Amino acid sequence: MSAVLAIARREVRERRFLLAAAATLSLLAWILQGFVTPAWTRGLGESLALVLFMAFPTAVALAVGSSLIGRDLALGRLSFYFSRPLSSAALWAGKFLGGAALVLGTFFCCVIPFVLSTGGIAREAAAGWSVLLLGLMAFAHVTTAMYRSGSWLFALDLGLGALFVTVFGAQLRHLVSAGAGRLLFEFGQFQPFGGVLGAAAILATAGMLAAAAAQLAHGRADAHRGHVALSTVVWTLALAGFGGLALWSTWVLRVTPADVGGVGHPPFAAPRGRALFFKGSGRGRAGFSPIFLMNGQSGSYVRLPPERVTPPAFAVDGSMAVWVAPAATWWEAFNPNPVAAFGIGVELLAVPDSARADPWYPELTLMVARLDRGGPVIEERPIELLDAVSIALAVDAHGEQALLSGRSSVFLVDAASGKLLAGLALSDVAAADFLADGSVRLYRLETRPRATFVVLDWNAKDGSQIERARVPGEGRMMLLARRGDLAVVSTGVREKAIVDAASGAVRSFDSGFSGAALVLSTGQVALSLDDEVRVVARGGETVASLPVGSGTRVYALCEPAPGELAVGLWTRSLAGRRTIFLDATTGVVRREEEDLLPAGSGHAGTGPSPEAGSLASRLFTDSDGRLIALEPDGRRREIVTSAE
Amino acid sequence: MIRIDPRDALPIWAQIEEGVRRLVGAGGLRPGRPLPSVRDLARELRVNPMTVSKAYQRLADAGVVVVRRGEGTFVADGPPQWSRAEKARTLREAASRYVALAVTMGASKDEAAREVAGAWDGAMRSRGGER
Amino acid sequence: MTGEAAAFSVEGLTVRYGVRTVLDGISFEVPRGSVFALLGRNGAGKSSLVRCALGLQKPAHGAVRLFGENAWVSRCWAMARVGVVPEEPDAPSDMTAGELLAFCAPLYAKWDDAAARARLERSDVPLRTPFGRLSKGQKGAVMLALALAPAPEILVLDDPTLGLDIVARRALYDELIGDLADRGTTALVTTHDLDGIEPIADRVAILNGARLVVNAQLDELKGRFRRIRCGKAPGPFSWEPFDVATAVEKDWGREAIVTNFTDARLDAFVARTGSSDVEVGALSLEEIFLGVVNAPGGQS
Repeated sequence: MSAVLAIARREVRERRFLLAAAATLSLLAWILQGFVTPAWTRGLGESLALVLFMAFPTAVALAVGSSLIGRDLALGRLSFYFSRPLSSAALWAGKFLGGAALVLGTFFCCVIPFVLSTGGIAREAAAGWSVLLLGLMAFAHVTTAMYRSGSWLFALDLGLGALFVTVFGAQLRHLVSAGAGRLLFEFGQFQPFGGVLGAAAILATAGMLAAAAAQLAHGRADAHRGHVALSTVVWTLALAGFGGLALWSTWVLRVTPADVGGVGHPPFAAPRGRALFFKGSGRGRAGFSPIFLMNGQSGSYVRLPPERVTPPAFAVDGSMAVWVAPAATWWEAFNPNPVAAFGIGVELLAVPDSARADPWYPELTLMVARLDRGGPVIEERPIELLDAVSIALAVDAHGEQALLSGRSSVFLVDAASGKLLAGLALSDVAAADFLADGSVRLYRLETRPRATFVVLDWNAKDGSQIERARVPGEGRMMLLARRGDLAVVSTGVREKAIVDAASGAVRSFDSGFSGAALVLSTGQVALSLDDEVRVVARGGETVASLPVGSGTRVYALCEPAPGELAVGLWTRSLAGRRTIFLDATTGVVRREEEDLLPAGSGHAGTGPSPEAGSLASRLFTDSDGRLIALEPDGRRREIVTSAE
Repeated sequence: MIRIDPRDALPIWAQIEEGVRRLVGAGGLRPGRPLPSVRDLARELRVNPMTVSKAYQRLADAGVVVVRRGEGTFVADGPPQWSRAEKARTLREAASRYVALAVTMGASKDEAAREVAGAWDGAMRSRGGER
Repeated sequence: MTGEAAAFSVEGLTVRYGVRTVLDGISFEVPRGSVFALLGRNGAGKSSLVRCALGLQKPAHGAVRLFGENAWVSRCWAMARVGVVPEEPDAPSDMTAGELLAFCAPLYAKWDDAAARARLERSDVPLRTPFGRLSKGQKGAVMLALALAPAPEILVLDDPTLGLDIVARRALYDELIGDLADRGTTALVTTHDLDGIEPIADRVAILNGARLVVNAQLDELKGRFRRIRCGKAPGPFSWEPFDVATAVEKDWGREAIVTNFTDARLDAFVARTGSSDVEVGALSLEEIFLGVVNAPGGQS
């Protein structure tokens, strides 16, 4: 042990000027920041601190790593150690211990002024940087040892290195394009410098250190034989590591709905039929959850990359779903602010939000999923548009045309080819429906000059627009529910309005804060008000009422069977999760289900209400987040299965 | 005082042995006086100490020197105790060498004998006439 | 001493660099307490042999055993008992002599620091100057002091006098002889300074053509290698019964270096040639070495 320490001490003493330089610069930066009055020196001090933090330890790690063994080997001085009763393991340990002390000591000196200027550094970031610096040191050793041996093996190493980087990058890219890009930086809940890259850095460092040990044990003072040992260990471990990564990636990406444990967000369910989109709550493989497009009856499903699915629009008969897939750019795919992962709150490389709407941005794809046949069949069509498109709003009954909304326009697109058929310069369109005569009903939530809810029908063939209703409001208006000609919209903080697009009639209610509303298949509207859930007929008269105690909130409403209203209630304590089923025409409570709440819809109010009795209308969640379908016979059926 | 020539056909230990004998004979090393230690002589001559050891051992066996444990090697007090046969043989061997040398130089028997007598007288003189 | 095994034995050692065979099945033993001189021309394989002996290189075949243990496998164990003075001083150049002593001392079971310092002082080596700034002779003195301080049972000196001036060379031999006298150390020395090693060596081995062509006691070697001169005699001539390493004809006669000299053979030769002016001369180790390596087909 003392031999190890003696060697380590020697390595540090030989390069003590590095530590002195780090301490001096660090002190200088600190002085400039704190004690000198002109403002520009403060900025200079902060810049110096940043440079110190990032560049100096990196340079030291590379310099120390390349000279630890490489220099002694090149100068023929390793035989000094091998001529003494020193095991090659002790030599290895002493050298790298000394190197680590130098590198981490320099890092510590350099981090101090940085901490002083920015107020702190996350523990994980400091640990991560340390691992990275030690990895750089090991890497510098390996590469200089390979180069300096002067052996032809170096060419082989370069070739294998290029190959390895390629396949490793390809595997990472595979993960990213499958939507698991976040795994590169995080495993589930772990902070930055976990993730695949963090694990790879740690394993690579350990592997390179092990290879250095083999180099000394087998090669001793001979550079060429040491190189053989070094390369053998490095590439064997790299192969094993890559194999492990590939297996692990495959395992992660094969996540099933059962693995994720439950829905994380309200699902998007087709208004008729059995298809639904949902995303898991992240309990799955290392926190990765794709979006599952699933047949709610059979349990068969397809995995979709989460970043490439925007809210889908369903055809009315549930036979087709359409959505817009933005191209997964590298930055968007895993972290909007990757530099933050490194412990520096500097927005150097983040993609500003405005750029996402830039028409110059990468191309978009229209995804068309046919849901009526056995399993969903998904096709892609590239779209060429002049505006950055956000989401698909509606698909016509025949599945031939889709309406897409952009930042400042709406577009009518041919679903078969993706070609633009017509466009209308209209912003703030929240929802749309295709009407029987081929025109499109647009629901607009204007914000300028005042908040206004507008319903207008657009005939794309002749470009005519007919305004059906106009409802002024305050603040941020929201579309809460709609079916057919009826729409429910919140017009102010405490007010709701029922809008009939056929007649243009508007009926307002002072409704309290709750936003739950539903247009029933009977044409009646269920609204949650301050202390009750009221069913209102077309004329405005109250048909039924369910009192809601204070302290109890209405979560959501749905119509699991024609004429049956389900009201989901919850209290602060969460123990009060339950759904009450009542006859919508009489208000008679039929039954109560403990622990269940209606699953709600990812569309919130902007999607059309599902057909009463369809699977979409019968979806509930329990307190564990499981998705439950209530069968007509009252049986509970868990949707999330692992059937392929 | 003792010189060795590595190129000589005679082994080094024999040269050392002869050197000591010559010194003792010529009175350079008196009876009872110490010889240089094996270590010191080896270092001085730059030869292997084993070689010096061997020479000293042979001298001790011949009675020229005496080894005292812990003290070193000393010149013997009295004349060495030779058996008559040994004495005769040793003298004869040395004489043959001398004769061979003289013959090859073309000297006559008288010349050779004269030189022997002269060397004897000289050695006796330098010993202070002790014999 | 460590058990009964020979201090140093080479068994069938074969070393190859690519297609070139540098050592081909070399075998010999270094008896305890002896000084073994390993000679050979540049590139004859001496350094390779020493590297194998110190566990720095793994031979293609065979092994070097130190105290019965394979030097490659048990290098660390063996080095506790071996003192090494390498051809090129390899101590780190930023460490001073004092620091080197302090570094090496804890590695060994026994370490005579006072003796080492005394040696350094005898050689005028300043203790606080970085190793890299010492003269060649001082560096050699430091390496020898480091090698001798743990009182090793075997000393391996790889061309220790290379590049040293006469004073430094004598100082080195001085220290070596002193150590030999004090402790009866076994020493393996490879050198080109044949004059210097000649009076010190017990056994001599000569490497030539990847083989060990000579392995003998020095005294015995000097006994059987002689230079013979004889005048020109009429008639056919041969050197029988002598084995001849080299032979030349000069205008005054013939001269040869023979490798199996005995008095009996000399008498037979004289009788056969009937020549009266036959001169026999002794050879220095240098001349023996030249004779061996220049001989056609080598010698054994």
